[in-house]
Amino acid sequence: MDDSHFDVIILGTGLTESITAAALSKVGYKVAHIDTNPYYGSEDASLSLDELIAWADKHALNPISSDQIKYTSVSHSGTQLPFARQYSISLMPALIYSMGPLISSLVSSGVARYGGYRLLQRISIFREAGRLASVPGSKEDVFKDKEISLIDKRRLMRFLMFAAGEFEDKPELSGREDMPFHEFLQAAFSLNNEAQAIITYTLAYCITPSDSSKPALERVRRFLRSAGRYGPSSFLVGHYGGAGEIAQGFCRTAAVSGAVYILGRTIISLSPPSSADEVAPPEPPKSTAAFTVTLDDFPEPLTCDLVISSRKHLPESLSVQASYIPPHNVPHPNISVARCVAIIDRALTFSTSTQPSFVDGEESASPRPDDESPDAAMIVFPPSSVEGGSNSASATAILMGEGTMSTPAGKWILYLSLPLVGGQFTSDQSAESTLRPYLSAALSFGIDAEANPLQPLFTLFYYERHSSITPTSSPNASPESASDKNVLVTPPSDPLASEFFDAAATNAEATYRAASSFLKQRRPETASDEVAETDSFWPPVEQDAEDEDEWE
Amino acid sequence: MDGYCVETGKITLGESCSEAGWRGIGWVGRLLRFPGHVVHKVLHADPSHLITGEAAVGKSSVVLRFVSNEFQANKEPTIGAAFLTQKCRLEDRVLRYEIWDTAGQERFHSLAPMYYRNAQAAVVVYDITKASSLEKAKSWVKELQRQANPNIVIALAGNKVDLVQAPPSDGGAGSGESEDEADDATATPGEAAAAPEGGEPASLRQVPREEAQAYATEAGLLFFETSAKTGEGIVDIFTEIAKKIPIEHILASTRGGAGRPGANGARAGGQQEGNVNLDANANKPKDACNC
Repeated sequence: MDDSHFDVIILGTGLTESITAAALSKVGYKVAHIDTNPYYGSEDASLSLDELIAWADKHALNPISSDQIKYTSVSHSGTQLPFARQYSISLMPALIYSMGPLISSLVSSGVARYGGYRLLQRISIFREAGRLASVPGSKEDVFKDKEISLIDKRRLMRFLMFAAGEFEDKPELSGREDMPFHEFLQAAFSLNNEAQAIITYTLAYCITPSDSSKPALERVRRFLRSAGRYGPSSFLVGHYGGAGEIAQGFCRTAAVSGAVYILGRTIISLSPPSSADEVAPPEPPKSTAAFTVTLDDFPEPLTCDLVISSRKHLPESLSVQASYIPPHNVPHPNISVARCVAIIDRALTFSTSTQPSFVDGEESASPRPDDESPDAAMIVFPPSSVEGGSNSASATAILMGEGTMSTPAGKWILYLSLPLVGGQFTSDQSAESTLRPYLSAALSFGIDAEANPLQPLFTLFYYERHSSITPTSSPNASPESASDKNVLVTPPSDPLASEFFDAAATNAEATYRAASSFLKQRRPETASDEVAETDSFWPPVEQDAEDEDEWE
Repeated sequence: MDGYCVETGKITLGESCSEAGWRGIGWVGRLLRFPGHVVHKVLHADPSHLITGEAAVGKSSVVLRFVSNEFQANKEPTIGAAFLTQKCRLEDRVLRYEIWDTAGQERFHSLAPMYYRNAQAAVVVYDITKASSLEKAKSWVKELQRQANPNIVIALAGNKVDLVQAPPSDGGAGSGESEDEADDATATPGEAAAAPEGGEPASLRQVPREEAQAYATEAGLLFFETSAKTGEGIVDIFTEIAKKIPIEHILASTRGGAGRPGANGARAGGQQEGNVNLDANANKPKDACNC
């Protein structure tokens, strides 16, 4: 009855859908949130090792090359490890900018308190010689860096000042907005190759050297402005695998506001409005629900006015009438990536051995042990830096240890990811052979690896394919008013570590706005009564002032 | 020490507090409104200030009872109508509880693993007037023992004991619900408040105390019969849990950088080992990014 009727049913508990659920619940809409998986997070989930192996086995049967199937060429080493439950392995390993849409949502929604975060301790760039150089992420770092010549330092500083500011109208940029970024760095700032590489791949997070300049500069600015908010690093990593845990936090917030959670049930049927309804006069009977959802092993069908679905969860029967919310500020919505998850039992060392400590009196003379074998770090591999690797795209390796709460003591997870661009890798090459060179390169930094090569305890390789088929609003439907769009499909997320979180938050806000404009039109009278009227994405959170005073 | 943990009362701060602090899951509260229904609470304790509590209880009455009766209430539950913190004095210590309401996510067995993370204590509540609720409680105990921290302290509470005690003073039917205020923040749809009409109080009991006690002993649980209506047993749960939690151990491991040699928190100002409090900064005016 009333208890089984909802304003919105959301299918999929990925981060975008979870943020959307929290936002809609918080303003008072009745939400049911369903995932066919028995775990939270859908394709962004954090899984224990045994869950991950089950996940891999399920997808291992997928044909190797197909544009339709998301995960292909899945292979893993067979061994189960002790303490399998203590791993939180992310299907979407990613980093959170300290300034940006995701952080804003975490803080404004109050979800921040449900999880733990730590700073990314180290970003290094892989050099051709097979050694690492740490990335100067701030002017201070540039000052201290001993490998950069004085003249290059000056150029680099000039660039950093430029990129951190309002560069849009500056003469350096004018006419060069679409220039390949490395050419821009050369032309406008005379930066040498090494500085170009560092800026292009570790500050701007370009995939290829020819990414256009303006968006790249915007990313550099975001990176620079994020530094210092919570500490020296621009990035945070979430505990327990990050994305999956944060999605759970948003789901919890949604549940606190009344959303109902149903996981691990198969959707038997999701019936769209009968044709009779469509013919019905414009003032739709308020009590008639648009959709009926029947779940396996579930007492009664649920009904709702609006369906929001991730692409993966969208039932075939609804794909025609669905309106696909376009991605905004999602730099790479359709890029496919090769991924590897490796578990290792020795730390990687990030000390730059070539760096004698001749800094006068600085504390950097004795680097903290933490920084040499960090628990949260990233290595960036520029194109062509790794033999046998990609000539056109940069890859990343993210290392997470016990301090990120995602591994048992003495174990580390290494996540490799390589965007598949440039057509170098044909689809009959396995994910494992594509990424092996990178894995070997990363493992060569294992402590004592020269004497005693580091062997991973577990590996998983796969391709994650993001279909480039993005149906725009169904072609046969005439331009509709918002009130007709009762099936919304969330925009695709960005699979790159640096972009995923902010893209998900931006996508969620777009979805929330589309959903609430539909719901307001449909039920104008309740919208003003029960649903909080607000223009901001998150209604203000009451501060816990009293509590703080007491404990001051 | 006090300094940073005050902050962490507001937000989980990774190892400095949530890791070393303690949490529990309890199934309290909603029973009062929906017989046979189970609700979970997660408790947090902050050992550096002895115990921190945060609560996400909505307005559920067991926690209200706990908070308002025997302890000083935070009049306004904080965020999103579902965060509650409570202090409690145990011998020479002040414990601060953090209570998380599972907000109905347990209902279709969709409780997020985040509830189990680092939980140091749990309260599993069943309704003594409904035999099936004990069975459900048992399955949650199993789940906790499988998923949660191996040293978790679990208490089993048979709630609604007031319904089977001598003369129910006024209107037996809804007596268990009456003291519960509107609970829409955590109300779960589809749950009918089907309290048995009238009837002999004693006959309402479906779970004999001995049976539950025997199960609890066998499974290594603390056991109580409680009434959120009268307050009976509620404080005892929290006190006994507090006694059983290895606070000294937790304290020691926090001070020692959560037992991670070579990784001691060199950072000052509420951050330990690179863990970050997102809210701490959000409250500062410099945060211009709340668009």
